[in-house]
Amino acid sequence: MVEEGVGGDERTLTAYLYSIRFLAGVEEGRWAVLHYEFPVLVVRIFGQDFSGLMSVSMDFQLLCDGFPVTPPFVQHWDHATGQRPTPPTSNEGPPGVIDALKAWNHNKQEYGGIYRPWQRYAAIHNGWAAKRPDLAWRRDRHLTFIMGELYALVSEQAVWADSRTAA
Amino acid sequence: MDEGEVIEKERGQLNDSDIIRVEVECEGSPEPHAVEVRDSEGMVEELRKALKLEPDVLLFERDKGEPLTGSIRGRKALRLVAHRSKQITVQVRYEHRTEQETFPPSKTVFKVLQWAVSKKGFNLDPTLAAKANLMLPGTDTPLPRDGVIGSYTQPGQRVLVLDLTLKDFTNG
Repeated sequence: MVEEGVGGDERTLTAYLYSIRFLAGVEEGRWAVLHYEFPVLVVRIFGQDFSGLMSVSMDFQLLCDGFPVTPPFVQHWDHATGQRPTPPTSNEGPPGVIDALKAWNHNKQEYGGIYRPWQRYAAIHNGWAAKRPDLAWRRDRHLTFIMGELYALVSEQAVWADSRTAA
Repeated sequence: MDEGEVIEKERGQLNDSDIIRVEVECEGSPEPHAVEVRDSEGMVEELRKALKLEPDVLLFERDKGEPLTGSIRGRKALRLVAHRSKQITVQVRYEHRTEQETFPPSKTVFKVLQWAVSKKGFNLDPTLAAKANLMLPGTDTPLPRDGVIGSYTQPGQRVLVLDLTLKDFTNG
């Protein structure tokens, strides 16, 4: 039965959150839902290096209005303070993470979100999604595509943290 | 069934504490199979029957090493890989070098990539590692990182050759 007043974007997102592949990621310890009140979804991602010995977590906020036709807006998030953390400097992460989390504006005024081709505003910045269709959001992709990309990003940070520990 | 009914069904299933919902990727089948089994000591056998798996087909949890033999208690959702090989030798080519390692067919492309760029593989610096992708020879599209390597082998194939290529991660 369809709930009254619930839009198709919310129904689709909620269905994905209850899907096998999303819940398996929760049970495997890759990610956790910290807050869900459509269209806002806050998740914690637990990345690992190859050995699995170094683990790092980061929080992200997703705005999912228009999902799945419109790609989610995704930003690094501090769930405790309810704010976007200061972007890391080159001494605080590897180049891929620094680039993804940098401060940039999508319309010369507003912060554009995670700088990756699957993210709402980065996708249309200089036609990035068209250049990297393998990393672009498509409406037939599952939410776990973005969760997996975030997992890869946080795991990159874990590899970097491990290398700093070893040095 | 519309999306609202799907959600109601999903919620109903989640309330059933004895049910494990399983998604299985089978060798040679492009789409995963979704099945439900009871959370019991015999869940793997129940699963094998439901999927009509032949005796030589092994079941793995994604990114885990050993095939499933007993039950996995306390889980509600599982992603599994059904494959005839216990191990696949992955040979990765980069510039003039080839490095190889054995992985279970359930390893994701992402984990193999992590190995390939690590000290155990090509020991790439962080900038190059961020650009690294794995591709099948003769193709120009990176493999999806959430794919499992067992889905890129043909039945009976025990060696998988991949090329490590660098694509700029910036929007240049």
